[in-house]
Amino acid sequence: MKELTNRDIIQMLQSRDETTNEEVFKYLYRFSFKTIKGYILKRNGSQQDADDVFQDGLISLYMMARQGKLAPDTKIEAYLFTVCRNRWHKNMGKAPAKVELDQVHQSVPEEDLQIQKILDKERQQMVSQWINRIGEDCRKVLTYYYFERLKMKEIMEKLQYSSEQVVKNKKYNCMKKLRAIILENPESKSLMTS
Amino acid sequence: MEEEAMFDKIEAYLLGQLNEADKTAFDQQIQADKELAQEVQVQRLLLEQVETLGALDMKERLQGIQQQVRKEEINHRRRYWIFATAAAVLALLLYVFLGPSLQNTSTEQIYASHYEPYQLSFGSRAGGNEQALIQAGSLYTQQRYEQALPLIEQLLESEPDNSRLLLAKGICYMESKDFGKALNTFQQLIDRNDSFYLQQALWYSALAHLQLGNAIDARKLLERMQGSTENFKKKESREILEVM
Repeated sequence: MKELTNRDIIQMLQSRDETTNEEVFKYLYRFSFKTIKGYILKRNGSQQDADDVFQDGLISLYMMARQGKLAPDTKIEAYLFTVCRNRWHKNMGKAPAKVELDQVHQSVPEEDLQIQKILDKERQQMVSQWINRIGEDCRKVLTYYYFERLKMKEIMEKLQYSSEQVVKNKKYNCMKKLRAIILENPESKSLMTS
Repeated sequence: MEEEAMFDKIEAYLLGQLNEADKTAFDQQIQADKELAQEVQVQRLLLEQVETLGALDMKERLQGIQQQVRKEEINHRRRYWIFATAAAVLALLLYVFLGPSLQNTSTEQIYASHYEPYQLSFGSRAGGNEQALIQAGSLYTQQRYEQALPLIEQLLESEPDNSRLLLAKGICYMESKDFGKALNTFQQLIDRNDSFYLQQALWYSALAHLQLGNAIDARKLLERMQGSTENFKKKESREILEVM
């Protein structure tokens, strides 16, 4: 496989074509995973830890790219390494390591705080409480719009709705439904203030 | 503001879709309006939850992708090992089956480039066998070894100590490609330690061994020739040893 530039990687992450997304993830597994795995294994982490942390790193990278928060010349390797390293230190209950300039060579965009919250285990646990109650169509519309950041028109085509307005109404109603489910849960109060 | 319009406004604020001025204005509105602030909190939580769901789905997808990559790498490695093993097995088979014949070819080549029949004159001598001796010598000189051989054998019966005849007999066997018998004959000369034809016997024995692919035996004989004071084929034998 030919070598991809940082620009290629970002464009492939932003692509609406799932096969293209998959291609770039495969590429990152082949070429970037080794460094991060080595880093974690050397610090008494397991293979499972390395898999887990790298998955989070890729999700963070994907979300940053989809939300347009990565400059086209962002050093992908450095971003992944920094994010994974910080995540690993956080999992171990330590403060994120100081950025060592020789390791990263140059400044890397800060990971979005919102993304850090999303990858938080406590929040992930809460999802399991409503996931089966919301219905498949809501699940699709909401994740397409808020996670994959697809446009109304793209969702309309993907799910074969008759108009963008139908998608918009669907999204609104699904959020209302979700709101009702989540507010039933007393735990949600504690998550709202943090 | 209508409920849905408010929802859209908060969403645009949370997704960073408001321009700087609108954002500042909305920030101020939130600060002043507790109810609105609460609503923003709720909507932020909903948004986080949906994004978290997306992340969880994606984690699953990534696990699948990682497994695929791992499988591809294992297959790649397996293909490499299969190839490497096949190459090693092939090399071994080539060595086992073709090795000896390859070796033969090269020792045979040495034989072919060095062998020539030894020039012998049987001479003439008074005695009962004079006629036979002349005839054998004549056939030998004419390179009619097959016909010379029975006469030589006949002569050897009455003169078993005649080293010259014994050497001629060995050469006749060499010429008829009967290398086993040639080796036996030369061995008799070697065992006899007849200083006059010892070097010749060693030389032709070595060549017979080379012809048969017995490089080790040939080497021993050629090395033995190096210790002799005789110059017969000493240089050639050294050259062969160097090649080997």
